[in-house]
Amino acid sequence: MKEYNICVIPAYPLENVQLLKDRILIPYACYRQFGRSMTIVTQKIEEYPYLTCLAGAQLYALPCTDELPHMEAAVQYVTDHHQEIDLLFLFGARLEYAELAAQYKALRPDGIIYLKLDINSGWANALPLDHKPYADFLDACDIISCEARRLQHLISRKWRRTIEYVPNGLYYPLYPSIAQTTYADKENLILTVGRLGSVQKNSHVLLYAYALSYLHFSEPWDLVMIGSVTPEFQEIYDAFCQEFPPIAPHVRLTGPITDKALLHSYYRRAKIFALTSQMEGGSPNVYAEAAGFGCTVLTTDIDSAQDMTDGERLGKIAQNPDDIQGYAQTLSALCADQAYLERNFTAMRDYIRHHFDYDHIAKRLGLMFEAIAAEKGSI
Amino acid sequence: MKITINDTNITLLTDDGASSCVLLTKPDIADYGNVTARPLVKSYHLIKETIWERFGQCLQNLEECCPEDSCLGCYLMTFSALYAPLLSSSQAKNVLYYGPDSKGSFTACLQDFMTFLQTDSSLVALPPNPFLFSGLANSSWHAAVIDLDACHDMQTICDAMTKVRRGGTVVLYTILDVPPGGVAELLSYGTRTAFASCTLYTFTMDQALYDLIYPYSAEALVLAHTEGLFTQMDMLSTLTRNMLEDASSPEDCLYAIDLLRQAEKMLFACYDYLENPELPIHANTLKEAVMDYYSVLADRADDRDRQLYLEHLHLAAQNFYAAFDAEFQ
Repeated sequence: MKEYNICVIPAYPLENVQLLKDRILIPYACYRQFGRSMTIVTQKIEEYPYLTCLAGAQLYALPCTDELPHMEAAVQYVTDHHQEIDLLFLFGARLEYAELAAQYKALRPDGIIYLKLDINSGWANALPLDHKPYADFLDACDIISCEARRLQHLISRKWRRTIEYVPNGLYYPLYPSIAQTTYADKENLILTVGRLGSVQKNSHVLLYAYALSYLHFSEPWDLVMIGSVTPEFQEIYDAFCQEFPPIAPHVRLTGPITDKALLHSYYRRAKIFALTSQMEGGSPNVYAEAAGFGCTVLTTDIDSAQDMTDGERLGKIAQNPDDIQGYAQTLSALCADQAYLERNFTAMRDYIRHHFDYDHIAKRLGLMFEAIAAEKGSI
Repeated sequence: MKITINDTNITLLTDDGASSCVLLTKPDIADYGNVTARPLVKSYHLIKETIWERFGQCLQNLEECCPEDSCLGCYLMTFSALYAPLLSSSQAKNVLYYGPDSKGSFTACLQDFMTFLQTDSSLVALPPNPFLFSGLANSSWHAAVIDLDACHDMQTICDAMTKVRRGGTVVLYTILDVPPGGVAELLSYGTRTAFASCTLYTFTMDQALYDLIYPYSAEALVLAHTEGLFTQMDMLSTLTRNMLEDASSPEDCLYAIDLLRQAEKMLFACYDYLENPELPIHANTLKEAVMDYYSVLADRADDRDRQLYLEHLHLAAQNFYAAFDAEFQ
């Protein structure tokens, strides 16, 4: 296989936590398989300790000023370094990329642009496809992928072009404890991870659905909610604790956990991973993590819900994200079916390994890059 | 631009009267006031209005409706170009109009004249979507009128022209000094009539013209695409069969991936003509399954993985070929 110089340019300055998410991990998995180099180009807005997890990847800090914001500096970078970029990874269907993509294509017509959409169906429907700079940007991309089958069908039909399905998955080398996890490690623990209290995450639904389910538990179950907490959700939680004193000790907000080993220990112990999102940009990164540890997933009907549960074979989908009663019924039914949860432990881990492993996905991408490079007759 | 009408001529003049041209001379037919005893023109007998008078009235109505329209000269010349074909027989005539939605006055006046001649005649103004032509039978319309300034895509124009029957009339009009580049050669086969800023190209459809335009029509392009597609599908089918029998090499997989990439492109190229809009996505899913199987071969994966990816390949192949056969057979 050919070797490529890979460059990743986010539409906005990169945060440290994003280094270990799909936007970086997919190009990184590609780099490990067929990369000569990998450069992440961003305005530096904080320290990047997670970079140490990505051996070999370089971070280029753009010399941004008030007059030279992130994207303009990135265009300048592409102008100056286009010879060192064979594969340009872009993330998000954003108009901000239009000039950057045009500049790269002008300088490197033989180069390859891969756009990972990070999109949901609502957003896909609102994109300004008739706006020429935007249409030109999409045309400049050699490969476009989305994160859910449902989206792939929608966008392919709407844009009339090939849209690849590239789900958000797992880069296994970052999860050494997955291999050692057994079902014996599991506890009666319901887990969620995310920005708690954001409108998108709909966290209050899980809190109150848990309270309703609690009445039906034949054995004790705990709920752990990991992630930053909005002041509004903190208020809801405090009120919840006053309203249901017997239940409150079973519900924990841990706050954000940056220690990956600690975070993984929660996944390792949890039997059920619960998502209540109204929408997601494709499939949530936390889903693949939880599934890798063998958690059974209960999710609302986001675009990737069918993929996440393999058509509800490996989990359950609550159709209405605002129906607390309905969510509670599904949750209590899951908690009551220990045999299903145990069977699912192995089945879910197999499913994730076969379909969401970034190394596996990078192999597919490598084949596509190679076909495009052959068409262009270069690189 | 304005018109003057007398007993024998209809004349088109520029606003300043500096130039003029005869739009139509009353045909020299005996007793033209009654224009033969055509039994079909019932209203004409009742209201004692001759075809010539009605024609003039329609032109005057048009002039009053859109005096500021820069295409007025084109409309009037189109009336003139269609006059003889519309009167050519007592058959009801059907005419296609393809142009901007806003040309309601023009189409209303033309429809009025056509209905006057023959109650069942119809003018169909198509909304501006080139793919509508795929729903119309070839060689079935008496005439087609196309606004070149609204539509200068060669394929769309040829699509419209192929819908006109032999002996039928095609009128293309423009107010641009230079016709759009892509259609210049085609226009050279038409009869050009120009006045002031308005230019009309008139064609009479015959076999030679049909043979000239047909290769550029969407139907011909789709057929050309699909012809290549069938050959590729035969090859692909053999390759996937070999894979499912586990008798395939990595090189075969790479070739199959390439064929599927081409198939996806072809299917999207003729997407609007597909009955099953999911077909390109089935091709994509099969491509994915072949790529996975390639990894199995390349990595010498264990039997369990190999079996799983083969099952996916089997399912994806089954779905794709079933959809493909349903579409094209």
